[in-house]
Amino acid sequence: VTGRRRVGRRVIVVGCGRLGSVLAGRLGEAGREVVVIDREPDAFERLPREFSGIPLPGDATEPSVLREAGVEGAACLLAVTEDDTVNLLVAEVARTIFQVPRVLVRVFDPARERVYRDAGLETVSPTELAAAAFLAALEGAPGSAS
Amino acid sequence: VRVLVAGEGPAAYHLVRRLAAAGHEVTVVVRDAADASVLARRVAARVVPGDGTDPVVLERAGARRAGVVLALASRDHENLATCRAAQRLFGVPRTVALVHDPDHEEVFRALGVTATLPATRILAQMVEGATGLGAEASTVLAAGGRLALSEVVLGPGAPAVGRPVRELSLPPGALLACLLREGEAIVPGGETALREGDRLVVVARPELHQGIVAALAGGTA
Repeated sequence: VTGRRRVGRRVIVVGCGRLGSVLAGRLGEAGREVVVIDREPDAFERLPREFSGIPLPGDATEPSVLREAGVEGAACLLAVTEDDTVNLLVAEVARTIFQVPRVLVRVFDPARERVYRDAGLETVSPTELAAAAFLAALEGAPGSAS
Repeated sequence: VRVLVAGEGPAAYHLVRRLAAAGHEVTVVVRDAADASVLARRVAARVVPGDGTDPVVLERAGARRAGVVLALASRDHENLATCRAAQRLFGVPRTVALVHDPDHEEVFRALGVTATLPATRILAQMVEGATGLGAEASTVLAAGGRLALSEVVLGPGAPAVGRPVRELSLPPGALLACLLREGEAIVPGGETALREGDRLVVVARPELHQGIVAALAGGTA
């Protein structure tokens, strides 16, 4: 995994839950070199059968695990576990120790999201996205939610 | 000083007891409700049940008025989240965190955590010295955790024995400040030759400790 043949194309997905497995599958389909990390080896069963990337069991908060995933040649890291605080630490390790050019972080709690965003991390909040979608549906004509 | 502690376990309990006994106004955030009620009976501190990484809970525990936030949870990611929220949302001037994975110390420092308590690293060094599994060496932190005084004993066959100070391969940025020989403190010069049994005190950044021990005493420390 540590080879640097295709530096710049590799994407590391941390967390192979409902979101992480879908992201890893889609990025693989799009031709990206994907390494997906999860502490729980069973989590990789969520990946699509034709998944072309590399599943790596391990705790991504440990720099040695990220190194094994080839973080040093990665273009991007997505921290999308179910735990906001784990995502924060993984993202900061990726930025601080490995200078990954692009780090995206999933944050459920809007109060926490502000902390992360102010610190210069790119965040995606499922809570805010869902709220915005519900509000847009409410304001639209009846039936437009579908 | 108003102190806000997030975390549980014996270290948190004994620290809170000491801080409260010293007259500080202490609030503790404890995740488990049962642990919280036990703690509330045993220490002279305000106990708030809840998630110490959650900004809402921290605010309820008085984070805005805290002079110090002490993050003592058993997971590094929780301690980082607590310190970040304290700094960024509530402007707490001092944040201090227990750091379990030595590789994370750099990250905590880069993010402006005032001081890190490198629990595992210090324990590992003491274990190596006490069990004879590594070189006899220890370290104490200074300057808010940014500097360390490392003490290294030169055993038989240590790489530094018989060599003058100028030939030592210490990591850059490490200074051999003093040595103790037969009960006498000596400030060494470049020509001072080191002997078996010398106790050396080196000043350097904490992460250089292992390299210093390896260069002076050898072994796997």
